[in-house]
Amino acid sequence: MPKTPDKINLAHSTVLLVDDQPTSLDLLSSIVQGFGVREQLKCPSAKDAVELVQRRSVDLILIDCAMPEMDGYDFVRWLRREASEPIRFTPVIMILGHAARALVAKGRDCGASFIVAKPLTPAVLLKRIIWLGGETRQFVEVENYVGPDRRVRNYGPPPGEEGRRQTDLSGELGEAVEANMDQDDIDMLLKPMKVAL
Amino acid sequence: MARPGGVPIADAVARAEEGLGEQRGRTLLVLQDKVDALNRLCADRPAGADGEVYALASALVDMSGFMEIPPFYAAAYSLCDAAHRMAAADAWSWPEVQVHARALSLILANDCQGGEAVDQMLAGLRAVAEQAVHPG
Repeated sequence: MPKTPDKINLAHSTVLLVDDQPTSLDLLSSIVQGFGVREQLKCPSAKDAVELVQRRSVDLILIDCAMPEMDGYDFVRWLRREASEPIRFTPVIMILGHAARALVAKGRDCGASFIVAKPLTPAVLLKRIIWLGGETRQFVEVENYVGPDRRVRNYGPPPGEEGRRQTDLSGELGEAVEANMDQDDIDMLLKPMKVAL
Repeated sequence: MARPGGVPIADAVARAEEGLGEQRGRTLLVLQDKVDALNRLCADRPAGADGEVYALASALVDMSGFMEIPPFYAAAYSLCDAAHRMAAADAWSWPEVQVHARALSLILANDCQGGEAVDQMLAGLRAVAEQAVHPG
């Protein structure tokens, strides 16, 4: 795993914040301002966010999942599938209040880069932003999914099969070609939990 | 992000927490307004208000989820969960909503502090939420 940086420079980044609750939008804004982001764009609805990203590019989108009319999931699905390049590749962190397993899976499957569950702390959010800075996942575009690669586990091919790729290892060998990620880090990609920086 | 300059990560987190802290008072007032609205609904008990209760509960979860106020967040989450489950099961019950509204008011009056009594109250709310859709 790459070393976690000691410093972060977001002074040249533009972050789009989307939340239908004005107070929550202000709270999220104060967090992002604390991180050193100079330019913030705020939208009170996903529909407004659609209009905005069609006009200009942003470096990161933070969006609440639960909103009336168009919710966060619909927005990310639209972004990944219908927005023009390169805006459709924009990293998205979804913020989830009611973190039921089905909703976390829904967020992952609509193409979110990461999902952060409430109660949200600045440390956890910043950690995800740092992860995005070192992002190595490929952008996948298939019929039923568009977004960052969700295949994060290296189990090798099923037992008894040889595998189709040159880099596939046998099931018996079960050894990774490169250093395995920590299980904690893998879990972090799939379900939100608190992290101490 | 990796450009020269920037701020140490610990400083960035501290500044963000400081920014949240500066908004604590104003946020608690907004939460109080929402809880008052919830109490008014409980007093009037209008028909077909399940969506309104859920929206209020969801807003409480949404806002309190940014603050370090775990008891309030837990109570709001419990109400959100109970409202969702009661509406889905077509088993709406105002007393269950009311007990949550009272708990939220008490927690706010106590400046969202925790403690053994608060833990017991939250355990009671969870039991109420469970009872709401699984009576008996």
